[in-house]
Amino acid sequence: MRLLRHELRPSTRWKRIQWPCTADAPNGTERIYTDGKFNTDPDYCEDYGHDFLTGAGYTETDRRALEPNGRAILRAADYRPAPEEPSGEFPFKLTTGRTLYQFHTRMKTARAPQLNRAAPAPWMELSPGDAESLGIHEGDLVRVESTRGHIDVPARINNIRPGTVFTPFHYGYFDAGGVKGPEQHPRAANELTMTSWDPVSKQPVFKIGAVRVTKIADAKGEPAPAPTTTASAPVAEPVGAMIAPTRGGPDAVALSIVEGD
Amino acid sequence: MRLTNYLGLVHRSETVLAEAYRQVAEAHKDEADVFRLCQVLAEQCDQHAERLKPFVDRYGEEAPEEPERLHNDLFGGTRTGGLGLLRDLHDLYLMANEVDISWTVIKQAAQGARDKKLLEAVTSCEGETQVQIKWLLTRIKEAAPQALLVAS
Repeated sequence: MRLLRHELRPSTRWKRIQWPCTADAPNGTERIYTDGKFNTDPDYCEDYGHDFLTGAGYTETDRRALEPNGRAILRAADYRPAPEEPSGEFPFKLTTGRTLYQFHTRMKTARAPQLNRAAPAPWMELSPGDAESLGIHEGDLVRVESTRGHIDVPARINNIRPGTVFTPFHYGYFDAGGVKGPEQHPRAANELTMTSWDPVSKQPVFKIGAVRVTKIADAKGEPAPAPTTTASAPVAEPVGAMIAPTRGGPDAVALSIVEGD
Repeated sequence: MRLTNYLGLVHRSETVLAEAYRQVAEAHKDEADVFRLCQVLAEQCDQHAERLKPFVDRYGEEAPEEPERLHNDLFGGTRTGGLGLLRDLHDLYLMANEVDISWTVIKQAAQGARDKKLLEAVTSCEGETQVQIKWLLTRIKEAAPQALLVAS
């Protein structure tokens, strides 16, 4: 993009440029397919598409039979329930994901002190109603357990949807103080999730699962190591009062100067 | 009316195919996609057998033994490893095609008998069977080079 900018006229130099940016469209292209012709032609397309249920590949013959003639192809799939749903023994819906302050397995962000301070270790998020019925308070050590494995992490009581629990997936064993795996201190969210993926996109099924939650020990005067900002923000006072807010500091200041004409 | 023969044939073929999918799922648990999809497709075969019930009640059903024979001829004990998976998928492919040709035959009879309900059921099941065949083919192609050239 930097190279492109230099070649552009000064008036457009710092504008956002939308792909594709070609000799015919030197300022980029805001809308594509404006002529209503899509790249679906069997002699031109890169792929004949897949069945959504199975991932079965369609063939050239299938594509020719559709006679797309430049039309787009919209495929549909029948509804299917999630591969695992909450039940009596595992009554909570589990979803795993990110926190703003860490990236993937934290190989970089765990080494940035200001980021790591915001979210230094894993936790589990639970709604106030569910926490009350389980007798769990902020910072209590809980076991989250599926048919595949478990993790033992502190609880954060926040505004998550009742019946659903969340745990971040960033935390493995590389910086767990000599702990090598789940046998010693299970903390990786993927101990809980199923080994399954979408048959077409291959996206793993990390966003849905069924778990049970049990309290192991009282909090030792410490809240969960979760940011007080973003979705992990704790519920209202007085619970929130004992939790130090997530804040930046001098070592979080960054300066970037962009030189103009 | 000999439609009874083919209703029985496809009914049994679907039941035996469902069972075979479950066996393959169990035998190749390590292949997570095969494990899950074989279970999904076994359920689909069960549903096909279920959809046939009203027509079996109306027309009757014979009990041909070919589907069991085909199953027994194809699946010789549990196979493991890359080549085992390939051969199991290959057998499922043959069995699914047995189902597919039965749907084709019944569809002709449904059209002849102007039985719209039967035609509707067969068309829907036939479409799903064809996707099963496509998936088996896709997965066989994926497994073949590794199983035949690399694995020992």
